[in-house]
Amino acid sequence: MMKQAGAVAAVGFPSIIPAKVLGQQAPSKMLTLACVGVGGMGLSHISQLKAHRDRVRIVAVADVDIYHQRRAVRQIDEMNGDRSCRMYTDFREVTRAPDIDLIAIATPDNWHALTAIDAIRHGKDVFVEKPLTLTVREGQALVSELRKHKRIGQTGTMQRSSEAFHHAAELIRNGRLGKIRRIEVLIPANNRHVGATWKPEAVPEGLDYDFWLGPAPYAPYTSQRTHYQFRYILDYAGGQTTNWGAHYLDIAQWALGMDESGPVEAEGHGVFPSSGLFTAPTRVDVRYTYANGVTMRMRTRTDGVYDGNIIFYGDQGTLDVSRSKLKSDPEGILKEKIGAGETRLYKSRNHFGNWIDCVKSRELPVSDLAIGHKTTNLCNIGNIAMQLQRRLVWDPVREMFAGDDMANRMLTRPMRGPWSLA
Amino acid sequence: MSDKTQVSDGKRAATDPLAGQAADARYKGFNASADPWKVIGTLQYGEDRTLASTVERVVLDADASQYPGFEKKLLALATDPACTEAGYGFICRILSLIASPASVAALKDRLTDDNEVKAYLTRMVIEQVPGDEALAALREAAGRVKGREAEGLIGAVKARESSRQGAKTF
Repeated sequence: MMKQAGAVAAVGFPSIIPAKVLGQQAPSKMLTLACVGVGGMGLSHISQLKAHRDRVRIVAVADVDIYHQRRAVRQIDEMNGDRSCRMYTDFREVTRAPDIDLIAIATPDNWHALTAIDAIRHGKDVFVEKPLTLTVREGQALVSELRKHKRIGQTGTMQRSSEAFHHAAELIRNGRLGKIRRIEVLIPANNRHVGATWKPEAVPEGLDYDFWLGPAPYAPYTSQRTHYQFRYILDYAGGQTTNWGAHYLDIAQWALGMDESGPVEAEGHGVFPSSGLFTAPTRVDVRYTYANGVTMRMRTRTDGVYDGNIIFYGDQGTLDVSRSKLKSDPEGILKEKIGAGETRLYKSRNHFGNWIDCVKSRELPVSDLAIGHKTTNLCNIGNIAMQLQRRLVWDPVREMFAGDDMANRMLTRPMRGPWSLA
Repeated sequence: MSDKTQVSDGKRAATDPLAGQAADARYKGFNASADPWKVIGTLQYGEDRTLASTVERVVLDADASQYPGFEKKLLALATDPACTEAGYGFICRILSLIASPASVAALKDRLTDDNEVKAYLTRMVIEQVPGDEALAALREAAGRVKGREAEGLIGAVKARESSRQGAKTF
């Protein structure tokens, strides 16, 4: 159901042959990509992909807002040096297009799983922004489809491609802090605020609002609900718990060697808005416990800094890492080299570049969706623990809570028709 | 013990230092209201939902033994002709966490409601109820509904059947 093929498509359509026609190692080696969701994060994807335009050509965008489409297409056409980029409202126009190899997804979170699964089922490799999914069950379905269809999927947890975080995780994994006792994670406070009431507004021209809502329950349009601010409404996202937690909890999982597992308990005491449009916690405070006794507390920071921070406390030292700093106590820990025979962690220095490399080699990327799923589980069970304000026992293998039916019901959310994971 | 007195001692404020005064004030309003539960049913989109949120908090904090009583109360509100669409949504969100086959029996006809918003909200409740009653209700509605909810219902039935067959999801 093509709702809107871009008028610009008729101007010029270069004869790029998708890699899958000739094979990933074909002489042209040019992969074709479509961006789904081209708001702020989608534009960032386009900018980052510019560095890889010798291997990847962006040929289409899909977004429910025509203004987003046009803005993105202008940027892409300028990058490509022609006017060939197509634009659509319905993501299925690109996930099912035979001339497209790759899909980069930067929609609101409640669309991640549906879009990625449709792309995977139609033979595409995917880059999916963090947090990977809205619910634990969506994550399970997504990873299952990825493996079933043998596709390559990178989660947008790009800190794994940062030298500082990689170095920190390797030091910890090799025991430079001794035995890890506890971890403190700070995440930013909400950077948007709304009042206790709101009024339905007319849907602006150019926005397919019903498509924007997608699988979420119907709610009348208000401008404060949609672009960017969706992340503070639990129908579409998980607040800063999942927005920033997805980055910093991911580093904890990596450093602890827990990529295939997770904590066994979560207890939360967050503060949720009792009125107004936003429903995600305004103050996050979750404590996780791993089976080996390591505890990790994630809290909202109060110093106004808009970045996260993670501090590892071991019995031989501490290590503090964020996007702007890396320091240890004693200081000498940071200067230590990882020797031969020690554990080396997956090394990537460019998140999109690593994904493209893996698309060609068919090896697993640094933030394979299965890893992103386990990290997102921490975020989601953290939100559930804060909502229920009680200690929850988590089985990280079966991915269920023990003895708490209400908590288990929160691991999934029925999708509004016609959307479903089936 | 009535539902109101469950929180009249300011339990949240005592046990949740982060919630503090805000929670305390919320419960004062809740306890001062003649029937805070009834407020949910007449909620309008965008309206102050403080009392409704407090009802939700009461349910989230309750012992499982209290769920049948809450479910009965919520079902009475949901089936009241005065219940608004926004109110029905709020009720269904809470119900989805505690609903039993009693909710299936009370709400299953609404799976085919002409109002697609309400039909979906009803499915949000029934999909969460384990057991044969819910599957039968979903299957029966899937055969009758036209439009966007038809696909939602079919997806729900498929997921249930897949789960029942012990299909590996991950």
